[in-house]
Parts: sequence; C-alpha cells; structure tokens
Amino acid sequence: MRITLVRNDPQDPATTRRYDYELPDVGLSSISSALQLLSRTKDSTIGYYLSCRRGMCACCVVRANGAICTACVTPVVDGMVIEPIRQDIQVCDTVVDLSMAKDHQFAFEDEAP
Amino acid sequence: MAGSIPRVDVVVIGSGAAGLVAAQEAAAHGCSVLVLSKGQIGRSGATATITGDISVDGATIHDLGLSRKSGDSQDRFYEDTLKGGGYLNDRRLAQAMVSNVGSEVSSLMAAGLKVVGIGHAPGHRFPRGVLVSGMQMLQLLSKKASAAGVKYRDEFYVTDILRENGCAVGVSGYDMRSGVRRTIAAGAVIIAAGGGGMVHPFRTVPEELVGDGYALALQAGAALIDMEMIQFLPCCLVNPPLWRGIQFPWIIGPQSGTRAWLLNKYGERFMARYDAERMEMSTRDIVSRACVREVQEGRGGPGGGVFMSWAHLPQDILDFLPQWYGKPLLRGNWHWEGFDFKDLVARIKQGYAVEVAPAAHFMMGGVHIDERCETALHGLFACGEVAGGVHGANRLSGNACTQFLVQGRVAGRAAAEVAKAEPVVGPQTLRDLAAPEPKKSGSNADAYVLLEKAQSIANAGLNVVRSSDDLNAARDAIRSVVEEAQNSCANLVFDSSYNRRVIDTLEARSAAMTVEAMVLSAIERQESRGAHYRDDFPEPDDRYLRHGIITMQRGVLNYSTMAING
Repeated sequence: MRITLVRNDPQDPATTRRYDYELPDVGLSSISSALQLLSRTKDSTIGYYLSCRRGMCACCVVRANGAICTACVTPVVDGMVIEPIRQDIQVCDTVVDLSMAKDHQFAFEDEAP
Repeated sequence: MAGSIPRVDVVVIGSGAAGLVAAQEAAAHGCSVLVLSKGQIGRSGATATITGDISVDGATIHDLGLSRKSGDSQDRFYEDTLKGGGYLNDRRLAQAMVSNVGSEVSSLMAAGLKVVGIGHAPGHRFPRGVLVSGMQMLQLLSKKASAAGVKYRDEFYVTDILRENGCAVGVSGYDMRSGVRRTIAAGAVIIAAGGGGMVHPFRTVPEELVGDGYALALQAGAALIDMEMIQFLPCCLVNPPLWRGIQFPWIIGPQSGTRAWLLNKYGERFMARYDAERMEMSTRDIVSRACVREVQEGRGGPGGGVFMSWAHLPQDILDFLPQWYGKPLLRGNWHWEGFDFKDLVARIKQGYAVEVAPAAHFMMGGVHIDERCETALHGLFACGEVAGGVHGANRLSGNACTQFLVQGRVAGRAAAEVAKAEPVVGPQTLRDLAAPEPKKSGSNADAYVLLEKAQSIANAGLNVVRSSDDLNAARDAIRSVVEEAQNSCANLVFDSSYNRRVIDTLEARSAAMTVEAMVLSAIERQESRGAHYRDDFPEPDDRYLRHGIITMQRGVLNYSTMAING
C-alpha cells in the first residue's frame, strides 16, 4: 500500500511537500495506525496525534483524500493523500491545536507573547 | 536551559477529569496552578472515552432529583464497593469516595452536565450509574478550571519530579511543541496522569496511558500499592487492527443481556465448564478467565481469542436492541462511539462468529496515597486512576468517575494547603534544581521495540490467568528492558520539536517500570483475589489480605506488605 503525506519541509518549515510512503498490508487498519507505523519505522519526526483510538476525543483529525475525518476510526486505503485539516492551527504535520485551553496558556519568560 | 525557572504554587500532571478538578480546587484556594498535559487539554486521557456512569448512591441520586427513592444508602454503596474489591480496599479512601461524590455531581449538573439516564451495573445492589458523556465532563471541567485562573501547557511530557529535603519542589520535562527541556518549581505537585493499560498489547485504554505516573512516583521516592490488580474487560474485538480492543461484542452481548454464545475452535459452548448456571452471563472476571483458559489449552481462534456467536438467535432479534439499550449509547444505525459497526452486525446476523478476547481496561493499583491524597513524599499528591487502593482488587462499574471527581477535589485542596504553608524556595536553590542537560549521544535501542517487549512480557506474565512460572519468567525478562529503556532515556537528545522518538523512548521507560512493579507484586500475592487470579493459588487466602507496597531504592524495587486501613 502506498500513501502520500503532505508535510512541512524540515529544511524550510514554511513550505509543504508531498512525501510518498510504502506500507505493509496488515489488514483493515486506521489512518492513525499508518501514521504511527511510519513514525516508528521510517521517520520519527513525522508528527501524529493519537489518544482514544475510538473516535471520541477527535484530536487525531486529518484531511484524507480531501475529506475531514477522525484518523483513528477511518480505514487507511491505497493511494490515500493525508494532510492537516488547517494550516492556521497546525502544530506539526497532521497535528493541529484543538486544546480547550488555548486562551489560557502558561508562558515561559523567554517566549514571545 | 532557556530562561529563568518559573515558579507556581501547584503543578498538576495530567488533564483528565482528576487533574482538572484538582487544578480548579487549588486555584479556588488562591494558588497559581499550571496543568501540564502530555496530550491536549479537554481531550486527552481516559475521561474522553467515557460513555458511561458516575456511581452515586441511590439516596443521593434521589436528592439530586434524578430518580425515585430506591432504598439505597451510602453505607450500602460502601459495602458493595468493598465486596467488589475483595475487601482489599483502603477503607478511608472508599468511605471518602462514596460520601463526597454527590456534591461533585451536583456542581457538574449546575454547570450544565447532561444526565441521560440511571444505569444499574453488576456488583451494585441498586441503580447507581449516573449516565454521562466523558467529553462533556472534560469540556465543563476545563471551563471551570480556566475560569478559576488555571494555566496550561499542552503536549508537555513531565519526565522528573524534583525533590529537595524530602519534599516535592517542582518538575522537569520535554515541551513537545517547542522541543525544549523545561524545569518548573512548585510548592506542590499533583500526579493525575491516569493508569497504565497500555502496558498490555491488547487493551481498551487511550494511547498515552503507559504508566507515566507510576514511574514518576517511584523515581521520586513515593510508593505504589497493589500493582498486580489489573481489570480486564471480556470479549473485545481481536481483529481487524482497526477494531482491536473495542468492546462492542461485549456491549451487544452479555453486557446488554442478549444471549450470545461463547464458542471455542470446536464450536463447543465452553462456559459450561466454568459457570454452568450463568454461562455467558457470568461475571466479567469468570468470563475473562474462561476465554483465556480455552486459548491456553489450545482451543482458541487464530487471533488468540475465542468466538462469540449470535447464530442460534432469530436474525432480526438484534435489531430491537438499540431501542431498549439506551439511544445515546447505541444508535439504530449501529454507530457506536466513533465506529460504524453496520457491516459487522450484518455479518453477525448472517451467522458469522466474531473473535474476542479480554482487554486490559483499568488499574486498581497505583500510587499509594493517604486520605489527603498525599504520597510518601511530602508535597507530592496523586488522584484519579493513577492513585491506587480505593477499589481494592476489583473496580465496580462507574466507580472510576466517582474516584476521580472526589480525589481530584481532595488532592487540589491538600496541595493548596501545602503550597501556601511551605516557605518559597530561594532563587539560588531553584537554579540548582535544573536537570542536567542530556548527553549528546544517541542510543541504538529502538523505543517502540522496547515498548512492544514490555507489552509482550505483560501479556505472557500478567494476563487474566497467572502462574509462578510465567511470573518468574516475566520478572527475569523485564529487568533488561527496564535497563535498556533507562539508558535510552539518559541518552535522549532533545533536539527537535514533536519528535516521536523522544516520546516513544520516555513512554517505553514508563511502561517497563510499570510492568516490573506489577510483576513483583503479582509474584508476592500467592492467592487469588478479585482481578488477580493465580493458577497455582486459585483461592483467596486471608493471610494475604494485606496491601502489597512497592518502593524503589537506587533503581531496585522492594516489596513489603501493609495492613489494610480501618
């Protein structure tokens, strides 16, 4: 199975690039499991978020073939293109900031406000 | 180390319900509070996975206007909790839990929590399950905490609790978003990091529950209690990987009362050998043990489970289930939680069996706390699933929510008192607290391989059915995994943001240390009680009706026992 991941270029984080990855066939499996496998076996800088694995917390949300879905309960299919849902709240690759405490963040002294 | 070290009154590790209640309570007592979450606030942790119940005694449920009088009382709730726990419960914690949950539910309802019904779960003599949504609870609790002035850092992995003169004085950790290692000084620290179900390869729990809280507590000099007590949920899906560990067959089977059959590979209805009277409607622990025994004795399916079948029933009988099971929990189109099980149910109705196995679900053991939720280290508190003792050897349905609401409040208040009473640590001392910069050499041990090793050791030694041979083998095997994981952590390079290699390495250490504590506890409890079942000691033995306590000195775990309080 081959999937395409739209990621930020590590050398130039402002630009995005399409990366193709080959995945082994493990049976009906989620997009989250695919991202986890890639991070573990190909490149640990691939950012993905995974928590509940049952479509409840919604943190793993991605855009897959153009449609927004919760990655942990959506099957990964051959040829799938996976992107972050939005650039403006992106943390790293497909990880986006869905925190319910965005407006109450603690700031360290050396961080720009 | 970037910038000077900030100081807050109270640091809370974890942002599930326990952590948020504790944070809000400490802030309400005038403390500056920082919540550090490995995930994202209001979403991560096991609270989010709850479509279930908060246990409250029937008299209080009536007082809350949720049902008619039932003849229930706090005393009866307390008795059931102890009976369910095999009388291994810490009495003070259990009493506090049943007495104080009513006001927590009342304040959540005043904040807008929707109660969808009152459930009656096994082990409770009366209906006590206030049915709610975990996600809604998280939303309300994070709002309340924010309104009280709590501050947060999302995706911050706490790696160490700092101690000085026998007191907890702060934390250090990896800020995943910036990639920077940070130290924060605090008057008190609360561990609310959740359980450790992820140490099992087959589990129902969220990914982040690798046992971080246990590892942090051990390293800080606190003790763990009854770590062998792991609750398994029977009849979870084995395959495909997309559905692995999901308890849907159990929900539409014995949990809801439909007479599904459990079959081994010969098609034999094996429950007749384990509980001929109740068969598949037996208790969770007996069903779990029967399923594992069939697999151990070579009568299991290809995926390491057994088969659940509805083929003996009329094809349309399952169609009526969503009507009476409770609409918000099971929808008519067979959408359950985030999954679409329409096709699976269609297959079941055609007569196909599904392969199922018990999955690790909850940790009754955990960080040893007193009635103020304080650990052996002054100024270090624990609450919620990470804290052990209140459930004894087994937890009743709904008591997890009761625990985190009550203990969150207690821990928050006690931490505030300590933080306010202690003298402020001077700036010179603060600088000394900064953890040494990690060495700049890479480790070759692959983090996820270590995690998988720990999981496979837990699977072999700490499963539903245990034996001294399996446990001794697990003890021998886990030591090198702990050492490898600790070496990997010592050599970690925090050189980039959001590096999953760093996260996986830290998680492997937590999981390995958790498994080692569990194995040691399980070896020493030479009886069967609650969730702990020993093949070689199949009966309860009251000589072992004591708490098992684990501490760590110079990296070596020690086991001792302690009389049950009360």
